[in-house]
Amino acid sequence: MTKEQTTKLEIRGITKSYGRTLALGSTDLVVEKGEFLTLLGPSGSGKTTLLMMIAGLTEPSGGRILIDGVDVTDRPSSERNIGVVFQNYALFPHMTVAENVAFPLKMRRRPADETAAAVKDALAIAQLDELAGRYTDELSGGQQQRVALARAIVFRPALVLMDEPLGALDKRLRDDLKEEIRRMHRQLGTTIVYVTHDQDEAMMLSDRICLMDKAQVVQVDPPSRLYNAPKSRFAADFLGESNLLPAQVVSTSAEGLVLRLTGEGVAINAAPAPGLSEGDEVLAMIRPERLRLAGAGEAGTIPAEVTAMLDLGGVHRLRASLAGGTKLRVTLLGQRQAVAEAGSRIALAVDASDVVVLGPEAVAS
Amino acid sequence: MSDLAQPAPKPRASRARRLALRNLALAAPVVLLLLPFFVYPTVSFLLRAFDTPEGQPWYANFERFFTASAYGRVLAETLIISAWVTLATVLVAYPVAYVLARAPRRSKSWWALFILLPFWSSFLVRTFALVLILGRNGPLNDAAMAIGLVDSPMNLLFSRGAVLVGMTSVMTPFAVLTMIGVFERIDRFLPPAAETLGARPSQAFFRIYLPLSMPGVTAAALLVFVTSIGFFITPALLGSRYETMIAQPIIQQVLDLGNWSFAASMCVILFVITIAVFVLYDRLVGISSLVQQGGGQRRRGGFGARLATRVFDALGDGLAALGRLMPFRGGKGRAGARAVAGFSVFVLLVLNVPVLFLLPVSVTESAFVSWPPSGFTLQWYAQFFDMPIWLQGTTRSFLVAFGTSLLCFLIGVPAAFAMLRLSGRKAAALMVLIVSPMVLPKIVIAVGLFYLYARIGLVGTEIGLVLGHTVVALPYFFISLVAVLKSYNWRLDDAAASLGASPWRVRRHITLPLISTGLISSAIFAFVVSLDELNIALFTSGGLASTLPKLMWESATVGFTPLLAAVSTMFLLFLTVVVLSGLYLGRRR
Repeated sequence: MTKEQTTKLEIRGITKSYGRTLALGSTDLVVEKGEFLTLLGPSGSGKTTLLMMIAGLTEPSGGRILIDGVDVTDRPSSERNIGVVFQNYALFPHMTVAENVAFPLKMRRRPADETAAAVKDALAIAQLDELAGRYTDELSGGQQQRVALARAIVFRPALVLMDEPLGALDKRLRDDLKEEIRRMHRQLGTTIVYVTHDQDEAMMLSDRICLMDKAQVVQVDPPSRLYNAPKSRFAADFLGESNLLPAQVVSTSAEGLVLRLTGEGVAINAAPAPGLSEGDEVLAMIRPERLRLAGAGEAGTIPAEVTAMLDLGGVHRLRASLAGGTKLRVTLLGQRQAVAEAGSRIALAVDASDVVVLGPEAVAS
Repeated sequence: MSDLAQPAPKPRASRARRLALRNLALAAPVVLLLLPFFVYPTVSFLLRAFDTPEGQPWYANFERFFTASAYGRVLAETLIISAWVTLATVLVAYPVAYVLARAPRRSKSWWALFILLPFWSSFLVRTFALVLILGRNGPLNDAAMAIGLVDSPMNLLFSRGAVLVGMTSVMTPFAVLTMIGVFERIDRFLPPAAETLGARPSQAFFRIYLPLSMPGVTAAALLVFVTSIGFFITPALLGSRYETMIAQPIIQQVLDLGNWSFAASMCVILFVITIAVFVLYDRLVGISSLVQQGGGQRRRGGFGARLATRVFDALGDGLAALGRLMPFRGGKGRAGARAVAGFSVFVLLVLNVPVLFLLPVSVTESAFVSWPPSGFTLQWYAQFFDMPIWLQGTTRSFLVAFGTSLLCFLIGVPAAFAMLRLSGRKAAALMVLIVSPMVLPKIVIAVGLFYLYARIGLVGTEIGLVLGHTVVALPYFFISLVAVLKSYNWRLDDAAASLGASPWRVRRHITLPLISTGLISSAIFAFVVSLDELNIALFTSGGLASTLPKLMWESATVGFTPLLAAVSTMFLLFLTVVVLSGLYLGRRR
């Protein structure tokens, strides 16, 4: 076992429908060696369907799946060499922890001494050494999760799939196990495809996020890019908080765009966006924390009235309203004291590079 | 529970005592009925076995039983038939339960319906249908000759094969329902999980699913065996004299010869076998897994369990190796799954279709049963309505069934509430008392009651029938009701109490309306059990107060006629309507 263990996954035009219901529209996706890719989306977005097809547990209606360049679409699950961590762990209740972890090696008819050594290693990585002889229903949720992880990695699979593995745990445990999964990923260098509907989990763990909605892939990008440059209203809305302001393009130039917020007498600058011309109806997306209080004498500010203010200690959350009724969420960081009372008037500013312009198709949706 | 939210805290001790008293009061009616009409008659009758004439040892009756070779043969035949029936039933029921447990929600209700219909429809009528189908000039022989399979009719009836087929088909729905509870609790992701870890489908089944389903299998086997050894309808109608089972000489000794002591000694033997099987089961599997299904089996790594594991593993690996030799099939070859589903459909057909053959026979013009039926007439139906004895029996059956479900309701509901509040051991004792008439040979209960009634003058009375039927029907009522109550959200009662409702008003406005459909469906099942009950009437009706099943049974022992087919058809039709409404109500909660 000296050759490179981690493998690339390629998905070509995979689709799945049940009768007339489309569970996953035609999807293409490439996962690099050693990458941690997260399928993120609301329930019903098709992420688990995609995962189950990669695992070989759901038969695709069309398309191919390649692992290491080899077409595995027609291979049964047992011959794909993929480790799967199921939502509710799917641990075998009639076997001990050690027997559960040894199961994949037994199925591969590995020699007993090799199996014992591999099980010991996997249990050590998952910090389960002391529980080896226990039955799985005597374990806490977090421990069961570790067993599921150990069982999925012990046979050094080409690919590890995880289906909402932290969904059943409380927040504290979830945070611990997130760290654990990150550590295991770095330590083993495995390629991981991870399903979740929790954006924090996705942001923290992933090299790239594949955002899905309504049986389609919406956007595939690294977390920061997905956050800072969403390409659709859904992406902007799903990940973090955002202000989505209807606007019209007033002018375009090499330096950027000038937008007028619909219903307001306010114009703001935005970064250049190709394919837009004067008069286009667009959405201006501004993250609440990118809005700031304007400095004295600053040009192009947005006058607003504070309607509500929450002091969270170090963070101030404001609701503000523009003259024409447009509502804004503003998050101010690092202010010493209450900056503005409800009812007071303020001037807000935003850098052109922090205004993401979503084209006419986003307005329509 | 609801009591927690009551206002005005009272001193702890007296409050606890008051609650204990209330639970006692709730459980009292059931206990007061079952002690004199189930426990006492059964025990006192069984003791008659040791009541021997002056000068003979206490074991004289048993000596007679074991020295007469005829009885030895009967006992051996009883055990052999029961063992084969158990094996066949488990093998037939397993795939059906497997498919049913894993079926998607929508098709599941259809599968369940075609298991529940034969389960609730009359044992007696279903056996009649087999008599008709397997007969020398029945449809099966007719079809075989028509396609040239055989030249002359085969003798399918009056053989051990016929008895096995008959008993297996009667026991299969029962076994499926026993297994399904365990099967449904197996995480459906376990076999796929095993497959992702490298197991072939056959290995995933034999190493994962089968071991986890074993508690259901062994429980079903136990109940089927224990029920089978008390059977007499099937061997009497489908078997020859070589297939005599032990319940038959018991009936003969009591009804024809009036030899109570000898009958009691045979009942003791039947009883001892039943207890022995339970004890053996407890040693091998653990009796607790009967009550708290799922989970009981694993830590008891006895020799049987270890051996079974070895065998299952080897079977799975062997099949997987065979699978690898097969030419590669694209995708996930699900031929196995399809075969299992196909077999299950076949089983459901065999369970449900035979009774349909009764209808054409019931309108035949010929005076005896023949296939294909000739002509069309309603004279047999007319004859039924012209014969006072049938009409009286039918009326009596309905009255008794109505009285039985009412009595079950009156004593069973408080007992079910008590059961949920009592502590573990007391609850278990109550459960055992109420449910044991279901697992003990009914014939023992029935003869015991006859023995009691003969002394207190209840033979041939409707009251006697109602009391006896209640003992038999109460387990079904109780189990069904406890299931309803267990799924009830008691927080709703707390909420109502916190909103100012008194305990009585909580019951009246919250609990009862919410459980009413479950309550009615439970009562309907008690009604059905009573309507179809034969054992009690066979002994205690004294020939004067016959019920419909007893009349049907007596008529069948003489010979199967179109009149009986007509009665059976009407009876079955009525039962089906009642059962369907019970199932419909039971599901609507």
